[in-house]
Amino acid sequence: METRPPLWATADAVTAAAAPSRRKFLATCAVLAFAAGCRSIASNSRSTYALIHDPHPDDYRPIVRGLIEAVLAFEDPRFPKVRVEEVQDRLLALFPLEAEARYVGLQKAFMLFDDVELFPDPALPIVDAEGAAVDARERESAAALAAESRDKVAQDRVLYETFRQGQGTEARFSRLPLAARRHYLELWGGSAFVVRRQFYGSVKSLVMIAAYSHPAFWEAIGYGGGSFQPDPTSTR
Amino acid sequence: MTHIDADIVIVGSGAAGGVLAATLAEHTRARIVLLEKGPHYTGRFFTPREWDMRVLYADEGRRSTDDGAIPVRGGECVGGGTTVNVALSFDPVRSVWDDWRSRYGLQAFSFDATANDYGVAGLNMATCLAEVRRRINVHTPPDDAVNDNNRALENGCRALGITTRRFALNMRECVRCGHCSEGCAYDAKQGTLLTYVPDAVARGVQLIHHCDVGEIVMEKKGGGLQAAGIRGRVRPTVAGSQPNTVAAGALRVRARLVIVAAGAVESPSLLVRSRHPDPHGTLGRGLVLHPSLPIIGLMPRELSNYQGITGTVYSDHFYASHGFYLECLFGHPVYGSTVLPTIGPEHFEMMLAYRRIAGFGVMLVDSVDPKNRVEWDAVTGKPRIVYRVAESDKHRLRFAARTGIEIMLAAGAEEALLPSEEAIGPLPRPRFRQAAEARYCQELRFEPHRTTITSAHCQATLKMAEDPRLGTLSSRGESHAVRRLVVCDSSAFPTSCGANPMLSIMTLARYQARRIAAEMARYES
Repeated sequence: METRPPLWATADAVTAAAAPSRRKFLATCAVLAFAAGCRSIASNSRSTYALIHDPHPDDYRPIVRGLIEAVLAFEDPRFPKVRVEEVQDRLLALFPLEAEARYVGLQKAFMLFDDVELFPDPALPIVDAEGAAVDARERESAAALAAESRDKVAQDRVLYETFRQGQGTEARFSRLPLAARRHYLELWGGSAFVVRRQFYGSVKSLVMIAAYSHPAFWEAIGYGGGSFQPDPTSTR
Repeated sequence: MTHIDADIVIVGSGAAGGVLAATLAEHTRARIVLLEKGPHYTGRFFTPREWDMRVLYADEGRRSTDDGAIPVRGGECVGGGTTVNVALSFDPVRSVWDDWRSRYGLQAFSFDATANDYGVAGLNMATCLAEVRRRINVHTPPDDAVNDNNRALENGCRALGITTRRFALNMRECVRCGHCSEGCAYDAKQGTLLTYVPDAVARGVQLIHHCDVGEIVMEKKGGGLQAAGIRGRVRPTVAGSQPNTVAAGALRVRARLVIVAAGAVESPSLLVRSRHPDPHGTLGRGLVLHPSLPIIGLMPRELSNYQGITGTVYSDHFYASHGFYLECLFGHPVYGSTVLPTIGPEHFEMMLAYRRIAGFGVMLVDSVDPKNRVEWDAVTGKPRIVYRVAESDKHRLRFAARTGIEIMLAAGAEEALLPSEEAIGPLPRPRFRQAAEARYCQELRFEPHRTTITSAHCQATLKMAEDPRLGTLSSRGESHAVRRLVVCDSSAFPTSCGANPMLSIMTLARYQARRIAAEMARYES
């Protein structure tokens, strides 16, 4: 019988994959420098900080709370009598951000998202992920990728200007007033970068699932479907 | 380590695997082992709580294309997709099989009920289809089973002169609760969970669930490769599942014939993991997944569409000309809240109108593009689904969206909308109050993560084709490269099968199982 390790033994594969991904990161830095014209070193070091530091729950919990308030409509008088904390507890119970390694990427994304001033400048991990997403279909040249990145950055800067004109200078999402938080989250939903829109979609899904899987929300919208139980006396 | 000596091992217990196991047990004396990756849940476990029932789905319902843009639903439990689908039973589309015959060189698969394919008495598609339809009780429900939502689609189409039809469904004594997708708690839906899998077990087939098949064991024999069984691992049985037939731990099954029936995502992944040769770059390539676009309507009165049989009405009016179906569908609040566009007050306003919402879906029969594919990602230990909607398909999808909006407004909706945040024409979002606005659908770009497209019908990743440059499998479903290996599921279709695939898959499985039973000698020498 053959003794080669099966491809599906993933633990070893993860370790083996670490090195190539570091190379990919460096390659991305080069693409990024090209795309951004080497500007804004300060904000890039802030995004790099967010990339390499594992955030503490205290760091991203206010961001999650701010997102829940932005995605739902607690201010509406018809909204179910549920507190933000309850939705947050439920979200963290359904999606254990703190307990499971697979959520580390999302934690970091929260930190990058929180830094409002990074929006007009291409944050490293965003360009990196975007490159991978664009690359998935056909391997494109670094130059083409950089040109596309430049174009996307320009589009997002236009969005950012409209946001800044209305919303002052606050640098942290979690400290913005509610209307501005919603506007800022919508910038991500309308971004030229697929990965920014993906973040918007992921956040929306997490919050909606936490809310609308809960009976209090069923009542508010008149949904009676989840309340009945199959007849326990039926013979199966 | 559990070691089993069998004659035939089947990977997957869904629309294909269940039928294969029962039919082979009926027509042979072979020792058969049926493997399923998911748990063995039964009616008693199923509840209407859609979030709890995510465990019935692959990756707990989070499976999507690699860019996260298209959620790809697939059942991962005993019965597979037939446990979680809404029972839509389309006969195999004969024009598609004729097309496969001419373009992919497919042989046999006669639709003549008197044909004896491969010289096997009574082996033909018509007979196999009739047998399957009988076993899973395919029938068209009575008129009083049509709920308000389906009535809306019917009315809207009628107002515009678009023909509609009634679905045939595989049910028995349905109580019309509206929770097909959470598994049938009433044992009414006649999926393989309740039909062919119990038939197989009653005839002595050993069912092993919670089973991750790592690879097909391939041996060198006579200058070529030959499948000799599988290696895998049985996970501990989760709460709510029926007990397993073996202990958790490593599993080795030796068999003279390996049949892969794990669906169009898992089957090619298994072949890649097993280092199946791929001399012509066909393995996993040419994926189609029936991109689907929900059409949402806000009606002037309450309909409570989450109750009743989910789908009873559809239209194939545009199938021949544009290759899409309009099919009634409806979601419960978790699905609904994630699909409805926007956030905050605008979104909540739509959720408040939940009882007034009507919905149906455009299901596009997409074209084959070899760049769309399934890969095995050893780093994540999961299949990687790479799919982008082709430009020519987007063109058809725009027309379908426009038509869908017009139908929804003709059905009486105050407002019709798409699950999209794209600005089109003068509209900041695709929300329409007048039919004249529907023409702006021509400007839809279907950008990932801006417009929601969904999928539940992956197909065509291995492809039957007599020319090995066009497909991985022969018309018999046998691998061109590895002996004693048959693939029989939706991955074996050369292209889309042209409709919701369950009955096409089950008919194919019945056909191949009867052929294998008559040709066992092919796998013994």
